[in-house]
Amino acid sequence: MIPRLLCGAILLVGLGGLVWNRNLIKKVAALSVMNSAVILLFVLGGSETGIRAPILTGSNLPVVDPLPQALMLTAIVVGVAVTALALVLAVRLYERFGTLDSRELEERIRDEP
Amino acid sequence: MSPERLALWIPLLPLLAAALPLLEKAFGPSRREGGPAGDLAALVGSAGPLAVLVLLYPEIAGGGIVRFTLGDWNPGIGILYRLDGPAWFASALTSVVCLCSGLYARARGGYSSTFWFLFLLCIWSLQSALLAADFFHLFVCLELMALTSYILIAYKRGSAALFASFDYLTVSTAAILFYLFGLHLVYGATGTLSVEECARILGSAGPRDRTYAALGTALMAGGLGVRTAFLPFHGWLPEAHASAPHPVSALLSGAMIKVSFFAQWRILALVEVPGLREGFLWLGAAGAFVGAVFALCQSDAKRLLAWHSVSQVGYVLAAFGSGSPAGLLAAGLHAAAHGFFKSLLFLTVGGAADAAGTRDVYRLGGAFRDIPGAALGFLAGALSIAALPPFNGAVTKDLVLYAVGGGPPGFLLLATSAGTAASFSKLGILLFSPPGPGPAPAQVPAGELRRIRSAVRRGALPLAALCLGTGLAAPVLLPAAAGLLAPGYAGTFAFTLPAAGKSLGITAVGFVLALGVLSPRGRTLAHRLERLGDGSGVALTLALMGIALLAVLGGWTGREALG
Repeated sequence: MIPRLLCGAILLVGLGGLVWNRNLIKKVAALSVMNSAVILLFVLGGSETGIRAPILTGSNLPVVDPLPQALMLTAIVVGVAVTALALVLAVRLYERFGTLDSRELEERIRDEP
Repeated sequence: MSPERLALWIPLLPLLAAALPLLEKAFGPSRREGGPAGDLAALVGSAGPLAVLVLLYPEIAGGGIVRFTLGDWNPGIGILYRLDGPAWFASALTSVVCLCSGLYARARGGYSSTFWFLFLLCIWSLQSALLAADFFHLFVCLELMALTSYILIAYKRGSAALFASFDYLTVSTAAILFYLFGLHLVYGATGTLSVEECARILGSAGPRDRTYAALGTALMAGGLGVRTAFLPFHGWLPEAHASAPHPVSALLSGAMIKVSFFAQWRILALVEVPGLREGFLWLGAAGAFVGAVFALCQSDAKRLLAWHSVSQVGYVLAAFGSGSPAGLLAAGLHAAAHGFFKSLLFLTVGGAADAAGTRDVYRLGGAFRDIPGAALGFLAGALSIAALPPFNGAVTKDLVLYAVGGGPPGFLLLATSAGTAASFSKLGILLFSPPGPGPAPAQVPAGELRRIRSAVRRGALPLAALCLGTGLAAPVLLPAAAGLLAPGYAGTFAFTLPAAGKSLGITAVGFVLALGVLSPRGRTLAHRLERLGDGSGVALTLALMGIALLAVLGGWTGREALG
């Protein structure tokens, strides 16, 4: 139970960072933290049946559930793509306005003609 | 060819077509516009699936379901697809909207091979999300859909679009992580990712597993909710849909927000969580009302339309939440009608905004002078959304109101109808009034105007014809649609005089309301309300509260299943 709660705590830390940070780069980092928490949770769930590598050798020793790990590989790839794109958007905004502060950006964009 | 093989081409055609513009970009001469290969690809990618769907109609019409896996893998480990009635319907709708937006973008010009590549990838993700029958493949499709839409929104690199895209990215990524968390719970409870298998296993599962699965499904509904953008998940939508290029706005409003809704439909049709439906009924009705109120206050023409998307999705959701066969039929049909008239409105108002050089409604007077086609299209769209017969909105909104019935949700929806009529009266009055005093907007070059005219003619007028045609043919189309969407529904439809009178009455109330909003005092009030609740933090906080609410609703019903 404790490892699961820790995963939940990491998720909440990321969420807090996303809500309370105004810096766009820090927001992206917070998203990554959240993503990692969910990945950890899946890997943890997969290890319930055993922790051996699921290579079928004919022995009946308990192995890890390979499916969540396979899913998380995909989720990590998706996460990287989203992070990269978010950083591109942040850099574009920084180049134009010279700031990464979301509130300031919002005000300046609204005042644009 | 067997139906399974044939159905595989629905997602496959846009994917294969996407390679063409990419190759053209890599090896062709460099230019600002997409070349002929891109045109061919866009046509194949959007119209191709429609042709396949037509061929498959006899299989699906009788309540048949086509199941297949990618690459003929064993269903236990392969990627599962399932084409059923609602999926067929939604897929056809998506194809039509994509085709019209694509035609508009092509004729309008200024979209490079990169754009067409992303556009086709987006269609691919939409089509496969509609067919996906396992939770994880659905996640991948949703993320792909989101990734392409972030880039498409920011395609013209306007500051507002860049920021809106970032905002959407943060909200939807955070929410999709809750979807993954829900998927984890469902997988833990059932040991499968297939939606059908999951439903079968839950049928004989213990109370503990059922509770977890219900909670997981509710969390997934939150992740899907951000894409569908109903209250309270709507915060990102107005700015993103307003600042995107016009064909992209049409695609996002017309197709994308429906796709996640139909995905939700597929999940709930198999894994029933009664508390969620109840929640959808109330959230939908409240969202419809809130959306219409904010829409009425907007001074940016495209933001006004975007707020109406929030409002109209509320109608769809409320009908879906009512749970009866009539509700399902109403939800599906209104989703389709909204797909047609909202993309039509985005394309025509977008054309007018381009011609006038501004999106400010108070300076759009006379914008239609040089593009009469857009005026015609706008009228068709506005009459449809205001539910005046014989346009399609009249039929579908009537069905929604019938399905939701009386009580507070029904009353809210009725009030929303007046608000919708008011806001389109306002937009219509301003658009058709002569240019106001003040500095004349910069003259748009004649070549540009010609492009706008031809874009409207090719992209928007077919949609206008569809709005009118589906409305006129409603008595014939309704039984066919009921066969696809709600096999239990046996009602018929006919335009009646009392119903028409009611629509006219509501529109009259709306017109008076619009005059009130246009008065100096109304304008001040509208201006004060216009940006209320804007800001990235608010959108995220609202979405998180929504997820918590759905989780409580899902968990609560799961707990009841315990006792």
